[in-house]
Amino acid sequence: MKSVLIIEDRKSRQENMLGKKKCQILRELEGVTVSARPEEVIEQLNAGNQDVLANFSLIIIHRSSIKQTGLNTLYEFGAKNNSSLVLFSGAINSVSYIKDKFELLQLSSLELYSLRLINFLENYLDNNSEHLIEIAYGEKWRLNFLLQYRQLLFFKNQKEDLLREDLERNNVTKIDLMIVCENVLGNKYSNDTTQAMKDVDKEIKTIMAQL
Amino acid sequence: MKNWLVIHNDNIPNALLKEFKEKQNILKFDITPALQMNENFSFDNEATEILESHFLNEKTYDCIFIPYNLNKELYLDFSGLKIALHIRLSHRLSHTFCPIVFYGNEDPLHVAKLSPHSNILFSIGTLTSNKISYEDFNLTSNHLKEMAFEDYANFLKELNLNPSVNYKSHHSVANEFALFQWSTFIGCDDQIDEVKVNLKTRLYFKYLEALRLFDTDVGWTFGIDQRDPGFPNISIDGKINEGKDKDGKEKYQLAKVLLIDDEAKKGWESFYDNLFKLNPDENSRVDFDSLRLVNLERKEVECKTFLDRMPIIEQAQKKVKEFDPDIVLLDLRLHDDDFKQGVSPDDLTGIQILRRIEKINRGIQVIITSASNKIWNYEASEKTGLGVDGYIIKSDDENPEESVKKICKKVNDLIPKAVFLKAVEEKMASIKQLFPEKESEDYIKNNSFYISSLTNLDVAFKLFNDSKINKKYNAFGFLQLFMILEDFVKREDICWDYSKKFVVKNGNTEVIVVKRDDKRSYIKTENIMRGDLRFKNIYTIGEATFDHWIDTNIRVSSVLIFRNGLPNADQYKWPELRNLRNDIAHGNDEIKSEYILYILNFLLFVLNNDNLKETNIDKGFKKKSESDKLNDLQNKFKKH
Repeated sequence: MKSVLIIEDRKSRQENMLGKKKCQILRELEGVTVSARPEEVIEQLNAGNQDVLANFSLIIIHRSSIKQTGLNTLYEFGAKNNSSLVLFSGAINSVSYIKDKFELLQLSSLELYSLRLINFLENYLDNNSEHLIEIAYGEKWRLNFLLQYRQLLFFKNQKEDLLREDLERNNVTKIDLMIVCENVLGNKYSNDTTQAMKDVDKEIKTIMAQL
Repeated sequence: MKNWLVIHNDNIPNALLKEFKEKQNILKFDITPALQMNENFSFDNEATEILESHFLNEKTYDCIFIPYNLNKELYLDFSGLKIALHIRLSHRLSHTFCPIVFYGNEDPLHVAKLSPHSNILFSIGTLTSNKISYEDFNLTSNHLKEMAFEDYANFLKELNLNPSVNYKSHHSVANEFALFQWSTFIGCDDQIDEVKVNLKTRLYFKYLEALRLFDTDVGWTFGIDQRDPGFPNISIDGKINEGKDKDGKEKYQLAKVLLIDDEAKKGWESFYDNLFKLNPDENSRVDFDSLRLVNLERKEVECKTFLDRMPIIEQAQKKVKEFDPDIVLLDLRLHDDDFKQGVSPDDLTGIQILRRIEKINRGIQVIITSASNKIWNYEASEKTGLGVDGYIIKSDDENPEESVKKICKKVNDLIPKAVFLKAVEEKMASIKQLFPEKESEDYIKNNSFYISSLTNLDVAFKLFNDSKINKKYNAFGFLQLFMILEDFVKREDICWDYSKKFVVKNGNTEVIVVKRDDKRSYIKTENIMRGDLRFKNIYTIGEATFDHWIDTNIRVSSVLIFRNGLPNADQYKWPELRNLRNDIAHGNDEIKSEYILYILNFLLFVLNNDNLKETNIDKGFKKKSESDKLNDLQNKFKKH
């Protein structure tokens, strides 16, 4: 069962950006907890206490409200429980995303508090969406994976030993990325790399034509 | 052989990477997860660090190859375009004109549709290539030349870079760019983390800086890195002369400036602190402080975390009372609700604080600091509208030297004004405290005096406050205060001019100062009035005749002597005040501010019933006894 914790210490901002109605909808979503006393949760996290996070699969928190020790608590919890983390702040001016031991998305407050948020959370809680970048990119999220997949196929087509290369570099491997892309996009592409590239290319063009 | 730089993040084929490594220069651009998990992570900051550590080695490249994307997991970020812009816009990197080739499998038109930075793709000195091999790179680079010097200004113009999305909400470009530029100008940029880590490295600010610093005729003009260490030669003098002490030595105090700004901790506090420290004389620096908000648990918090505006307003009011500033630098928008669309100016947290400051002391000079566009409207209504004393407008298109000089001038101008007006306001408040309760017998009997006096005080204050509009206003304000004195000595319970005598009242006692018969008036001066030279020179000393009506001078002098028990009428600068009033009436409108304080002190003395003394009561004309009155009557009948 998925559940979401939202920790926002600037409640007026949440209301101003999302609007009163949407705020109410957000609070009433089953599975979503908007922290009523965010200062206390933040204090607990800064003190290294993970108990306040128990059972939450997605935590959304204002980055500027918390110290690095609090962030580390969140990271440890994320890695241990495979839960995802969204950091938002007015000070963040470009989206960033990593999927290492857990998913971490960072974006500006305005990007978070958009109409997309409620749609995403509804889908997320219904197990229909698992891709955090949907919060930032909305319906373009699939394009992100398609572009990435096309590039990986290009490398594969160059007949490179992706595994060896990545092991040498001791980083997120292209193999890992390939697996992620295939999981996200569905295993519908040809085993023939050249053909798969063509198919992906076609899909990209179709989406781009609709944008 | 041409000298290339290939930027990558393991997103080119291995064999090709090996070939580049052998023949050319490569830069791996990888922002690790560890960096991204830092509380202060910013892409622009990391990009600047990576690029500067690579480029600041004086090596120059003939062409730079950059992939559209350098982010392994966030493809739509198209971070390659951002890196190219950092190179184009940072003159520190010395490659602003260098040819750039974007490479990758993407269709450039698709990238253009997806990236907000796509204008660089089609700009002068830039090409795209979807063929990724050493030979293809070589071919492509042959088509490219370094951007012509004169094309750079056009490039900047056509780039038309927009601020990032967070600037659509509470973050103001003008606010942050002003902090960046002004702190850089006064040389404290490296002491302010926000500027050093975030603002200086921000791509959009690099763009604004390039627009400001690139001159089509001379190239890069005076820039942040060519700052003359001796510059700027500007400072704020916080020393206030308080006159002389008992030993005749000059006494000084330091002006106090308070900052009330939700962005204080994000650099503005440090900026102003450093600005005031530009004064080389440590003993003349402004005493500076800023409001730090605390919650119930006594923890420092941000303004915007309060549920409503009231705690901010109340804590600001408390701070003003405690610190007793001469000048307050006040931000208008301190709470999230202040950013709501259609918010009334009167509801803004800053305006509500302003109203509270006015109640504490109207003499405190309030300078509104704001980057809001609406400030221009407010400025138009300066004085008549919000009742503020000046504006510091955080602008993103003004020369920082001009802006900083304006701030210094504004503060330097307002310090003496604040010190003067605060003293005026304090004295006026003390005078008002001497006025009785509205229900009291005294108030009911003299209500027209008290009502007009309050009006006169308020009008006088407004005139002093507006004296920069017209120098005459100080003189006019002085006359308003003098009117209070004139009204006071015309009160029946203070002085009374009967047909046969003029008396001064001291409590229930009437002292006869002037008596008249059918032909002559006699003024009671005796020795007690000799000190008043004007009195002495105009009227004969002693019980002597005079032909002058009972004017304000006689009334006030008589009050001082017979009501307040002073030895003569020279006290509390009365002769000077009287002369000054006459000078003003004759057209002299130059008046020193100290005389305004003198007349306020004078009013404080004469209006205060605690200063009544019976010392000289017996020195007035003797009242006639009943037998004397009978003799007078008998003599009168004898004559007839």
